[in-house]
Amino acid sequence: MVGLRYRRVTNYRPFRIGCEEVKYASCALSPRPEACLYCFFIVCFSVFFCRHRFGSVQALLKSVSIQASPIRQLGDTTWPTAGRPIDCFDMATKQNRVVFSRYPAVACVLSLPDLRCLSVLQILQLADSALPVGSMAHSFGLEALVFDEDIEPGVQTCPASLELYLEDSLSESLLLDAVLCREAHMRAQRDAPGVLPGVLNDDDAVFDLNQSASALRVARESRDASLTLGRRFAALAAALHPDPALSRLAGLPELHHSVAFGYTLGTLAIDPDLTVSAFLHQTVLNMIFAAQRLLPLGQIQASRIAWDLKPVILEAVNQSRSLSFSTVCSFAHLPDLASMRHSCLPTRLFIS
Amino acid sequence: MPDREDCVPNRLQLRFIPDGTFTRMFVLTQQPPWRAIRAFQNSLGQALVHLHNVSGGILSGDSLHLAIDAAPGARVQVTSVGATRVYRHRPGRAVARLSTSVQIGEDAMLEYLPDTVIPFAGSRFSQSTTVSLGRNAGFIGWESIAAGRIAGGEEFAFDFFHSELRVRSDVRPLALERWSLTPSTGAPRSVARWGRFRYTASLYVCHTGVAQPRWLDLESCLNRLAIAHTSQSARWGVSTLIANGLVVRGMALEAHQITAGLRTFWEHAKHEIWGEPAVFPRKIN
Repeated sequence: MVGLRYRRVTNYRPFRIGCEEVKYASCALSPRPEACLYCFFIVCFSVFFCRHRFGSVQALLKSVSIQASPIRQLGDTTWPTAGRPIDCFDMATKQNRVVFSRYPAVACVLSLPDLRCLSVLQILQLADSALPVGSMAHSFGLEALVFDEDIEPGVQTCPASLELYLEDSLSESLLLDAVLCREAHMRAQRDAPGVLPGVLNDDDAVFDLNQSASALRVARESRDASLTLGRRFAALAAALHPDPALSRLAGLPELHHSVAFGYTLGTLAIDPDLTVSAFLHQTVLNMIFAAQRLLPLGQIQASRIAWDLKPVILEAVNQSRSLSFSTVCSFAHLPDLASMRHSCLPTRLFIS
Repeated sequence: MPDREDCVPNRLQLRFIPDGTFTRMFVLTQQPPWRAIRAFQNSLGQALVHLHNVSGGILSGDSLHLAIDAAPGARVQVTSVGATRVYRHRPGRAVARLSTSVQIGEDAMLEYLPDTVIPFAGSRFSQSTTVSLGRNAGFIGWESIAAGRIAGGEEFAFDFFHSELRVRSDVRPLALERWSLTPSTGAPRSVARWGRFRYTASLYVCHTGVAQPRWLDLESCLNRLAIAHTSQSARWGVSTLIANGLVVRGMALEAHQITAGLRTFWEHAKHEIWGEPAVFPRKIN
């Protein structure tokens, strides 16, 4: 801490100030996205390396969390009084910094660029297809579409057919998910009188969203898949980031994946566009991974589809800005029908 | 979304009240082009009503409202006398609209069985249907939509079709469909939308007094039927709703496949849930 001149924040409300710091950080583009990506790839490589060495990813994550634990306390309403954040001014860099310390002897210094990088890292982890929520077990009707040859099964034709399907889905069923995700994100961040931001009301801030999402998903398997992923995602997020709002979210009996994702990232004060982009990107990747197991689709072809769909994802994100969940439209009769028929297929690789 | 500057609301309000073993119909409001002449009693004691549109179809600028209120204990069957034709949009006129509101009281049962909606080339149409079920109330309703005037070789030639369907109990929304099709901008033939089929249909079967396990059993039963009815030119699927009901969806190349399929699923579902036969409206007997 040499070189730092710091003062204690008086009348400090940990959650609010912590939240605003992250909000501010996530509003601007990170100056160091490359650094974040670089770190993320190193972590990913280590995960796969340690899977073999330590037997489980959790062992590695535990070791990583030792370093990251002070950072994780950002936005934590259960912050211990002994380790309040300290507003600092770095003499060397002439920048403001926030010092977070859970214990007097241990301090973690985070500048605003660091907070932005932290947001990116959190998104990369929560939107990773390898997140242990079970998304790889679902195809959301794609398996039935392949079985019925609505997605062309030929080696030459399947990449274009799949890409077209995903592209059109991004303006129908996936757009609906994007709007739900954005709405949940907004509700996590909105300030209600007498209620701390990010804390669920007694009436449950996302109650109607989940009910509407359940009514909109008429196909049982797809609906159940979304509910299962939502529950698992929320439970994991609550375990990773101790926060009363996330704990209560994880306790909801009816919680859809898009809502859980949006609400969680809203609670972490991550930018809404980034949140929706990450959700759609993750969903599209999962569909492509599912297609790789169902179709003669090579790795490079799959990667190319994912790459080429990025502008379409951004278009869906832009569209979702001007739509609300009470007006968004989605025509997906054939995919819905496929999802309904999935349980009747003679052989199945996926749960939905 | 469409403009509404020259819409003239035309209402038909019907109320059904049980009277002994029968159900009586009361016409509260009836404005042209709506016409509901009288209610017949079918063999189950249901009041069967045919809805007429004396203009022969829905024209641009039309704003039609249909409100049906089934009082507690009423038993009602509502149908149309023919396909709902949506005519070509006339420049300067508002989008044609049809809104339907159905209230089903406690212990009442209503069947809403209209014919196919056919959007003509150049038509612009917006429809919304709201169904509210009271305690222990039942609802069977279907909707079938054609891609256009198929016999004339016209497919997806309409300008715009917006549809919204809400089915809810007194506790929660059970089903919600909201979609818009604009064939000129969004490829309707896409696998993500309509695919290669020409007709699409949905049959909703709901009863607020029936628990979820029974719906799951019925889903399995109807899915076996769906497999039997599925072919290269027609496809059927069944799924329970989040609560109190299930939906049957079908897509086909020919209209008769849709009609026959809907009748079959309706018969089976009604027998399983209500323990009584499906009495077809007299026009199609």
